[in-house]
Amino acid sequence: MLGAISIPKGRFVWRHQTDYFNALTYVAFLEEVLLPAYYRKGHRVYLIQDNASYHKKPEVWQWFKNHRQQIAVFLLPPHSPEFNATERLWHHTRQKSTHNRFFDLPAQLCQSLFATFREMEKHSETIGGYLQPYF
Amino acid sequence: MLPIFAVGSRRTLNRLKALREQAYADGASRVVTRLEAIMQSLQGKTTGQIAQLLQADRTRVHAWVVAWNAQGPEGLWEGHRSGRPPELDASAQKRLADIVGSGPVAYGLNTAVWTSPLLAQVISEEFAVDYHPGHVRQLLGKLGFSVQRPTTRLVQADPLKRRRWMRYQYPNHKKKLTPKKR
Repeated sequence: MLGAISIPKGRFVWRHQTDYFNALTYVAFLEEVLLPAYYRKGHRVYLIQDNASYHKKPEVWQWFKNHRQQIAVFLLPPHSPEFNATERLWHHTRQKSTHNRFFDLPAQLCQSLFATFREMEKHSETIGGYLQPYF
Repeated sequence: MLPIFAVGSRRTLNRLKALREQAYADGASRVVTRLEAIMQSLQGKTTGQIAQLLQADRTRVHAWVVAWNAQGPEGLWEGHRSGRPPELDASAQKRLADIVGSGPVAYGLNTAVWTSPLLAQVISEEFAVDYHPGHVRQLLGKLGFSVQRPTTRLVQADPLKRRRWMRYQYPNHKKKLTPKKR
């Protein structure tokens, strides 16, 4: 699961996949989901990402270099999840869709997660409170 | 026999209301009941009626009214209740506080943490008084000790980098986000 949140607008984007994450899938997420969602002509996306290893591979830096006009990237200080707005959304997700529940099949778990994500996408006011500390 | 009533005017009633508020805030429920009784008595209720209203003893209500008429509000305050004297007197408690304050190692025990069963043992050795561990905790609270626990903190995180992010870097990014005023 990959996700990002725009702090001023509260707009949430996400993508899921069943295979492992690596730099290539991250680049694909940036290219296909994140940039189309947030980029507006004449502006730049300010992306703040945490220090997951696949966020910092050479391929990813190369991609950021190629898209310098559209996106600027900043790294959070290491071991500081409380500065990461997305972590709060994962907490919200856990509370809403997986906490204290039993799922028979992985598909049911996915169904529950996707329902929460769609809700977050559609009704950004439900997650507005989580973003308050970042204003 | 003539019924007895509390002596006072309408202003006394207001004063009693203020006193009742204060007693309520102090948690002195007995004083609140007595003040209520006097207020009722000022409004013309007999002691029997008041006793029924407040579910108090008839003779007690009579005694409160008499005390009010003789001494005013001072007659209604709580007196000194000695209670059962503690098994550890003040000097023993002070010595116990010294023992607790200087730690278990100083006392000659092979541990760094006081626990209430351990302290109960120490008390029974030092003062020949048997206390339940639960009561030991109460006693420690009275002596001004409390449980100390460590807070959670990420050891690997660099506080300098975190502060720099919080104070300078993130605020700067935010500034660029907000549209410029013209």
